[in-house]
Amino acid sequence: MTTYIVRRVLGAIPLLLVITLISYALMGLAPGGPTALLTREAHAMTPAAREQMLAMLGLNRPWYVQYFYWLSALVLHGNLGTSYVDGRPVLEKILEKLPITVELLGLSQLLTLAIAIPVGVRSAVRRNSLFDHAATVVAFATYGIPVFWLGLMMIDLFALHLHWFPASGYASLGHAHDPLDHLRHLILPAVTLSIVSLAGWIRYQRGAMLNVLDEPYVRTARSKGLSERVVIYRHALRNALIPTLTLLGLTLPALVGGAYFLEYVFSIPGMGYLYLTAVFERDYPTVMGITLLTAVLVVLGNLLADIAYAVADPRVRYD
Amino acid sequence: MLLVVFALAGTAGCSSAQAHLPADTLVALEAGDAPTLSPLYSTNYYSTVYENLVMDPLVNVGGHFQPIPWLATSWSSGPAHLHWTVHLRRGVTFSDGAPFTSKDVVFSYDTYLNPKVGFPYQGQFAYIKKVTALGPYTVRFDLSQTNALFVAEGLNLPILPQHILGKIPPAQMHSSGFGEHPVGTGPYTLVRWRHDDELIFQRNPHWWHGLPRIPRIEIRVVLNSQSESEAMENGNADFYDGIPTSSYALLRGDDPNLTYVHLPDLYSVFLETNDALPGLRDVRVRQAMIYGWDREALVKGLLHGDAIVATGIVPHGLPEWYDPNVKRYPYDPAKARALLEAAGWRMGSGGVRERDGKPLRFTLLMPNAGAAAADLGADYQADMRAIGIAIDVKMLDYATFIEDLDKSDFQIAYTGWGGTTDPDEFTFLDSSQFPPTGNNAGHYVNHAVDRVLRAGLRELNPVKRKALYDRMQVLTAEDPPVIWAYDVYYRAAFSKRVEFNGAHLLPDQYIWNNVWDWSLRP
Repeated sequence: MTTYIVRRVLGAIPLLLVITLISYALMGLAPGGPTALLTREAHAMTPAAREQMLAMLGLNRPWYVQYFYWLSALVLHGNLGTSYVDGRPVLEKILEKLPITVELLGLSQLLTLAIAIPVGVRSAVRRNSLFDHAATVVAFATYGIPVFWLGLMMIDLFALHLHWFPASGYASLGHAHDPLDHLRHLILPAVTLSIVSLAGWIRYQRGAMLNVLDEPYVRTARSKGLSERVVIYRHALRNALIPTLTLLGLTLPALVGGAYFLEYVFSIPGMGYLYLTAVFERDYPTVMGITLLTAVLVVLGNLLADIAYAVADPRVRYD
Repeated sequence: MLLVVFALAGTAGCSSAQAHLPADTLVALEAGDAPTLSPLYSTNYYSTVYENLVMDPLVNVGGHFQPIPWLATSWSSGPAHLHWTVHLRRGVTFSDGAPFTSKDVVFSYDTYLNPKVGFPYQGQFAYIKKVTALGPYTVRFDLSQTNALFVAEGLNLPILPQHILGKIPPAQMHSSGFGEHPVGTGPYTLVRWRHDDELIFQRNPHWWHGLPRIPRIEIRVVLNSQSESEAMENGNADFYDGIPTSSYALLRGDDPNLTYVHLPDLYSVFLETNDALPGLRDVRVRQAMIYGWDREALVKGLLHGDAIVATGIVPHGLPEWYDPNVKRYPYDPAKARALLEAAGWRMGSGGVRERDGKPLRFTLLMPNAGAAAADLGADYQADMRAIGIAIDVKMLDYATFIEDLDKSDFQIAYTGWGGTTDPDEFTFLDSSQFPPTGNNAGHYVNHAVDRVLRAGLRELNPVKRKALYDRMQVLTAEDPPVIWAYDVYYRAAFSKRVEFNGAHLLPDQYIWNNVWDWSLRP
């Protein structure tokens, strides 16, 4: 197992390198440069001062040279660089925003599981019932909805018409440290995110449960005279949760991507908000810092899923 | 199940309205955070606002945008206005207790003007050749050429603390952390800052001008205008700076608990034409493009009547300089068509005019700036179509848009200018100021305008200077450098407990200028 983990972690390094290289190249080759400092008004700069500023930010070199400097600072000093916009360390900017995004993702995931697992199990147990068909239809219908569009619709209905929730933001005025207030602000985006990811989870849980229900040990449990409830939830579900655990790691990229867009739609000042703002301002160090962190999370999520799979199912061995 | 969760959470949170505001704190709403509070690197509106709470310039902006003594008590110049002697206020300290002297002034200007520092506006002040201390409270400025803006703009830069920044090498100023922890001689000090959330300022007990009347200012960064409007209506805030048109319509007039401020702003919105292109070089085409645009309808419709149709390049917000007696362009599609005919553009097939087999067609470049901008583009497109000009609208993200503008790689561009308190437009209109030297991205060439602009920059006599800029407005109205659309309004709202002298209020970032004189009713 340890060898496996070490091998996987080592294998992730070239992957992360390729991800950062491609990201930097895309950014460097895209039209438009950093705007926050070099705005149009900055034309009042003499050409010499402009050159000086580009040199100060390292922007006078081709993108691959910039990438090399960025990478060596990261590898040699663990330094993600400083933002072009405000000169602050990128890591500090990210850590400031990370908790907000984690809160949103956690809340959304909790909601998703709380709904998907019971619905999936019930669909499997009552296969081809009206409930099963209804769940399937709803799941497929929501699966294709673009997350930013759904976010806007949710704002329109629940915030602007019904006034149940605030339309945007992370905290009300004067409630910066009130968890209940945060919850009230995060419910709409979290539910939005849950709705679009729910379909996969329900179908997955249903399938896993169906596989398990045909297993001999379930039959044995039933023949022992155990109640159906105990058979389903204690014997069958335990095994049917294994694939779901794997999914937790595998859906992380989509979840993070969705959360980033939703933060922008809902004006929640988390990592996604920071990321998109940085992209618009062409603040390369901040963009790269968040890209790297996201890539690491995704790779880590996959690894943890595989490990969780092995832990939950004694038949799975990695040698 | 979802609905149950919704309903529960919804009712649980409904009690947040009607907070009690602390008696000693002004709660202000701003729509954005400042990237940095270092005046060396700020190019952002909010940076300017917050910096001015912490830092003082030598010369400040008075109630009619005129220069008033601030850290400088007086200034005088020799005959050619190339050498200025500036006398400094005595007994001023920085908020950390260090005394303010000529050393700080010399250091500040040396730093702003040092190319290694990377101050974005360095070129604007490059005419300041040398700054020398003549004594602890006297400074001499030597200029390489006379500049009429020296006192109003050149002496308006925030003074930096030499005892703090003097230790930092110029190339490291950007990452020095000063922008997070600024120190100045200003009325307030920054005590807390959570990015994209709040900034808290405490009054500076040693401020030279006297104790500011409001002890504490909390600036709440609200990224969404709906929340801002709600906060004002619920009594959760005292001051909402720069209300957008859409929210102002919601708030307008009927809330007895609010005081509204509505002033012509310093900003104009217009379409810049690239006169290097053969079609647009012809003044008749540019004139037709203004005559043919129903800007009254635009202002009444899209802008809810909350803007002023522009009549020239000086906005209505500068009444001391604005000249109404110039050639006007009322909506007149017949005249527009006649001008195009006279220029040789005949109506071709498909309703688009042609000359020598070439269609009269331009691309309007716009930054992706939301629905309002897109609507304006569509409005212009429709009006131009009616007089036989085809307009293609192209939206770009801001960074790409700016790059194209900087390279003059556009035909018509949606843009704007303003914010300055002086009518000088040298870098935008002078024919020597094409990019990359200056801002004349539209390649406007009018040598009579050049002469007036150059003279205006050298003229210090206010009466003669006013005559020059009147002349500039007459000339540019006849030969329009841009297709002017409208001048905007500045809007703000105050809670009733804020007391201030309304006559002293200026629009935009200048609204905060007299904050030390505001007070809160108990």
